[in-house]
This record gives sequence, C-alpha cells and structure tokens, in this order.
Amino acid sequence: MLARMGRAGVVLAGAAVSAVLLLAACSSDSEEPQQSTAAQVPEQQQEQSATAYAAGQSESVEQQSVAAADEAQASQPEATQSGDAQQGREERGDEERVPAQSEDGEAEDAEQVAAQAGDEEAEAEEVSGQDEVEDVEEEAMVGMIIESGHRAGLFANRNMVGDPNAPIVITEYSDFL
Amino acid sequence: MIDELIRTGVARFEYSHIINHGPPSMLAALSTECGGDQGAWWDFHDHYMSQWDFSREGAIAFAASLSLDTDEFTQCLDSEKHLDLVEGQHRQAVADGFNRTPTVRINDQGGAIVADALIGQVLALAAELEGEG
Repeated sequence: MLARMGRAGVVLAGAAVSAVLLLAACSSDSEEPQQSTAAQVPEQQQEQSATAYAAGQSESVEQQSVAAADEAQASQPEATQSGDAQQGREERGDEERVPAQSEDGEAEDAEQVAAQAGDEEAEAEEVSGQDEVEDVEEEAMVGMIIESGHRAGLFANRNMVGDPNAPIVITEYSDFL
Repeated sequence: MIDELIRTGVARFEYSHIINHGPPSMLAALSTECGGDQGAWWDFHDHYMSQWDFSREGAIAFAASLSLDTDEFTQCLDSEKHLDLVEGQHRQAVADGFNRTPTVRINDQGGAIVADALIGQVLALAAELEGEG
C-alpha cells in the first residue's frame, strides 16, 4: 500500500514537474512574439523613416533610423533576460539572431545613406540643370529684345530704342558680362 | 511682340550700365559709349553681347571693323570721356535697388528675366494703359 502510494506520489510528482516544465515552455513560447514584436517596431519605424526621407526630411530621418536601431538592440537583451533555464537554447538562438538583425539594420541604414547620397546628387544635378536653363533663357531674352529693337530699323538713340515719350519703359540693367 | 509695342509708341527700350565686374565691365561700357559718339552704340552693344573680348585692343579693332574713326574712338576711350555717364547710370541703378545683372524693369515694376514672362508683363501693362485711356 505504502509502496503504491509512494509510486503514485512519484507519478504525481513527475506529473507536477511535467506541468511546470510545460508551463515554462508555454511561457517561453509566449515571449517569442514579444521579441519579434520588439524587433518589428524598429523595422516599421525604419519604413516610416524611409517614407519621411522621401519627403525630404533627411536629417530627422537619419536620427529616427539610428534611434530605432538602438531600440531594437536594447529590446533584445530585455526579452532574453525574462526566460528560464529551458529558454537557454532559445536564448542562444536569439543571441544568434540579434547580431543578424543588427546587421540587417545596419545594412538597411547603409542602403538608406546610399539612397540619400544618390538623391542628393540627383537634386544637385537638377539644380545645375535649372541654372543652365535660366542662363539660356536670359540670353534669349536679351538677344530677342535688342535684335528686335535694333535690327527692325526702329528709332534708336544711343542706349534707347523707341519713342522717348512711350508710356511703357523697359529698362535693362547689365554690364555685358 | 515687343517690336510692335515699340513701333506703335506704346513702349521703349533702354539700356543702363551697371559695373559689376570691374575693369572689363567699365571698358565695355566706355567703348559702347565711344562707339555711340559715332552712331555705333548698338553695334558695340551687340558685339559685347556676343563675344568675350573685353580688351582695349579688341575694342579698337572692332571700331576699325565698323569703319569708325579709330583715332577719335581711341582718344575717347583712353580719356574715359564718358566715365561720368557710366558711373552715373551705375549709381542710379544701385540707388533704385537694381544691382544684379541682368535685371529688367518695366516702368516702376520689376521685370521678368525670362522672355515669355517679360512679354506677358508688358502686354498686361499695355492692356491696362489702353483700358485707362
């Protein structure tokens, strides 16, 4: 009888241990989404940052991206610290993932920086192109007025073309250079 | 379009010197005024608008190419005969707030640099004046 009770106790004790281990396993499973959620937040922020950058907010976006990467790295140790002994294997896995995610973040940052540099170069080329167009238009304006006034045989007296009493006076200020 | 407004007496065109680039600017302005003494003001104007030789020798050579009296032209240029006129136009332009080149003014308004926009401004002002008349 005592032997049976003792065996039953052992069985119960074993069941209890199994239940504890099962609960521990469940609790570790439930933390994984938290970890992945914590890891997703920076990614979302980085996506938002990329969108904001596209709108021309380059400096603030870089700061947001760096802050998001910092948060991602900081959130990983917090999540792994809450695990128990059974999570050790998963922690090692997490530790393996954390650097990988960090590298991914750095790679994304590098891509953003490269994209930013490309956009700045494109903007610089665009501005340069606009200047060239304005120069051409200015030349066209000067040439048109002078040639049309001078070569059309209109009355010209030194620096003036047209009727001295005309109500509209178009004056060009220039130094030929 | 500007031609027609000038031809019909609605508008006139004037050029005013601004000396923003030192000696080359001054030499071009004085040469143009000396050319004007012999009826070649616009020839010098067109010449300087189309090339980049702002030397004394280049100005005298261009005067010779127009069959001007080069001695008179050279004396005018070397004596800076029209210095007061050129400097006076420059000072007046700066006093009026026009110190960039090229700058265009239509009566008392700032004029557009781009040709189409300038023509639009002149036509609008002409229509306004016609309506008032």
